[in-house]
Amino acid sequence: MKKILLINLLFCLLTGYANAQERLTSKGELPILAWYSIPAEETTVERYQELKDAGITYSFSGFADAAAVQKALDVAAKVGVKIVVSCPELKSDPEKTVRRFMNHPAIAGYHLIDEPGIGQFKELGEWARKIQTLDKKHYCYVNLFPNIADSVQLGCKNYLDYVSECAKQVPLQFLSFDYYPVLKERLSKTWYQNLEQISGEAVKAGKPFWAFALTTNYDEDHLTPQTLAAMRLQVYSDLAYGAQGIQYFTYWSATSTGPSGEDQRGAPISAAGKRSVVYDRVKLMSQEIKNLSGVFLGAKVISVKHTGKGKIPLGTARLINLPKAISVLETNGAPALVSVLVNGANTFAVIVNKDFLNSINLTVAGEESLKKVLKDGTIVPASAYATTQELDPGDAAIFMFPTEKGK
Amino acid sequence: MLQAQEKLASKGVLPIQAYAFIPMSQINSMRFNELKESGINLFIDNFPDTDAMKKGLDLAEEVGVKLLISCPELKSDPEKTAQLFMNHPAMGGYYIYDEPSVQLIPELKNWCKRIQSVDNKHLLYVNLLPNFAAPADLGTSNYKEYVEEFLKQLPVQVISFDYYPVMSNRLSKTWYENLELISAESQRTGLPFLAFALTSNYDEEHITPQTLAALRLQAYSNLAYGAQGICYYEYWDRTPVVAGAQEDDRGGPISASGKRTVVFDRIKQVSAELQTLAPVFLGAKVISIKHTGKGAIPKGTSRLINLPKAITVLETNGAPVLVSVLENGPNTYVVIVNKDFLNSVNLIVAGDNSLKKVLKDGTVVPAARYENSQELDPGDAAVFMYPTEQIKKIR
Repeated sequence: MKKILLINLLFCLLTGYANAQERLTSKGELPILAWYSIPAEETTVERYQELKDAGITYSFSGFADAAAVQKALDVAAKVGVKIVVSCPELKSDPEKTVRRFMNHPAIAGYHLIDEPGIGQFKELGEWARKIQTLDKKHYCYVNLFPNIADSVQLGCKNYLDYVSECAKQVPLQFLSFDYYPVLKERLSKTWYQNLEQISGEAVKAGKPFWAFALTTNYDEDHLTPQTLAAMRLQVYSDLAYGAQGIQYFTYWSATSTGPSGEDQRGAPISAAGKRSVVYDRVKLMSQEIKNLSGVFLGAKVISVKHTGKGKIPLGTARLINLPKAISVLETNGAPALVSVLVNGANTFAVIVNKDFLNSINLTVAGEESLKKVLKDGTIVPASAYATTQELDPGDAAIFMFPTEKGK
Repeated sequence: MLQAQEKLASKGVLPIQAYAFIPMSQINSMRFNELKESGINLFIDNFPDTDAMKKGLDLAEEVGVKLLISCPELKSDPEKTAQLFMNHPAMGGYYIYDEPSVQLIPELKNWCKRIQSVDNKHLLYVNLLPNFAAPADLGTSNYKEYVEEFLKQLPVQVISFDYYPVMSNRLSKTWYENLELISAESQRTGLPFLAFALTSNYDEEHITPQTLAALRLQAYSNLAYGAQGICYYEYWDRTPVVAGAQEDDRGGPISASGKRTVVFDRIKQVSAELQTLAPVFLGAKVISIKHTGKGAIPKGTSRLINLPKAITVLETNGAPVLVSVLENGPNTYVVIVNKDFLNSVNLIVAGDNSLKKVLKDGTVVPAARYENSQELDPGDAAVFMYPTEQIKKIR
């Protein structure tokens, strides 16, 4: 009791006010979608609330029938999560299925297929048009192969052809591709090339793109359990390349590896329905994404460059000219990605530490207009910070300056 | 419709104090707001006179932080100075002395009494030496005697001691022994204690710059031992190295040129975590503090033999952790700290149906919602909760 009194003595009169801090404004929140989300038999308010607590806004599970979708939509609506519809009836009777769900408050869109070959695009296009004849408001969703897929999987020899044909033939509202680049001790060599390709094709097609962060084991070559650094590296690299949505693969673990050969364990929720350490990490990651939506949502990519000693990744470009308002950018040879994004009146320089195992010393100096965006979404003059800062593994430092008039 | 989640009920503000050392030229609302943003809510600065002290207090009030009174007049004319500031809303107490030896007790006692003749409401802050100080510095033959003498003779309302245990690749061997002794003295006297987290370089043997893991390990260990507040040493760098002290007072949250360092962002994160979890620690009664792990446990500590009630399995595969049981009203908390600030541990905890897990955002969920085995980050704490036994309440 005496202890309590002392604390009261110290703080009962602590009623001052904080200065109004400059904060990011955002047009909304970046979508965060979970793959292999809550299984049908776990469709409860409690489970959907748990998913929402992890910061996930869109839930995607393949349901066995439309009745299971209906149940999930009804429960999701109660907690404020949206569902990507996926059930056999969407294929067998799209009109009836779309009519059934299109006005549900929890519908996000319609999942058509994962990793199709180029030969399936025509049929997918017809399917999507059927859906969109009835419902133009909700998106049709197709996830594409990564650039490591072989020509048999792609159905063509050239990955860019594969992506551009999809954009042409299937009336999608956004492109999506999956790539899980964080191996135990290194990054996959063609991941950034894939981001370059998708980002480029998305610009050509005039569509946004969504990308992934791995949240399961996947296989013995990948880092496991997923660390905050690995997730940050994937998420911030995706966003630095202009991604407008982040997808976690997966949310719920599968016990057997199944026919795909993937090890779908180590996810935020175990096969037994228990939270793993990855749940807490995803929650933290999602909160960061939410806080920083004002940087990325609706942003236009001006440039994405790489720096560091040795070779930069295949298909990428080396940083030569510094972003306006930045006069010094130095990593002492450590590998970093430097993206410039215009978002209305503000331009953002996003610097990602591409090393997911070690921190780097990042030196950034700039003119007076340069500001630093903190992880909680507050904005301070960059000059409030020492020019050299340790940047955690996989993490991003974000700077802001006024967009040049006329751009 | 959102489901209401169980959350820790607020019990007040955890004191997060700092030896701030903000230069007088930087005493302004922007700097005070910046300090508040880092989560510090009480601080010490050496003001040159009462006018400067008054200005500091007025700014602190404006911003919503508290200051300990520290100016030459507090020594030369304690009654008048106390009279001057005792009713100021931003007044957090009186800064008396840092690391005194027992030889100073008569002088300090007289000083404290003079202040208390005017103001016996606000705390008198004396920070004690750590247990590795030489007898010549302590003024006694042993550390226990040193602490007891101060608590017997000085009318302080809080015990404070500084120890900076996180070296580059190991922990100081006598840190937990020091916490054991201070915690025991706190329980014996009923006085709360504050303990430190190093936020500057200190010297070439300490980890630098301070990591999130090192800060967490210090803060959570202190709190697990029952500390009722955390003190950061220090906030604003002083260069060159302060004459006489031999300390490297750089690498703090704010550099000597007034710029934020990476440590600023880290203390901001840690402060927010601590404030969220304050209901676990504020006013808690320490029931037991045990250590586990292969090899010898730290000197002066005791090994975990019996598991806390409601916990049936607690396993780290030999990794070193601290297990504290704290009773706080209807809830009892088990705080498990990963004592390794460089590596994570795989912590296995299983319990009965009453066991809950307290998350970093203050939400409380049934422990059964989590896998039994969880990776615990370097220096981090896992907090569990179960109902306090009814029989204890009746007593």
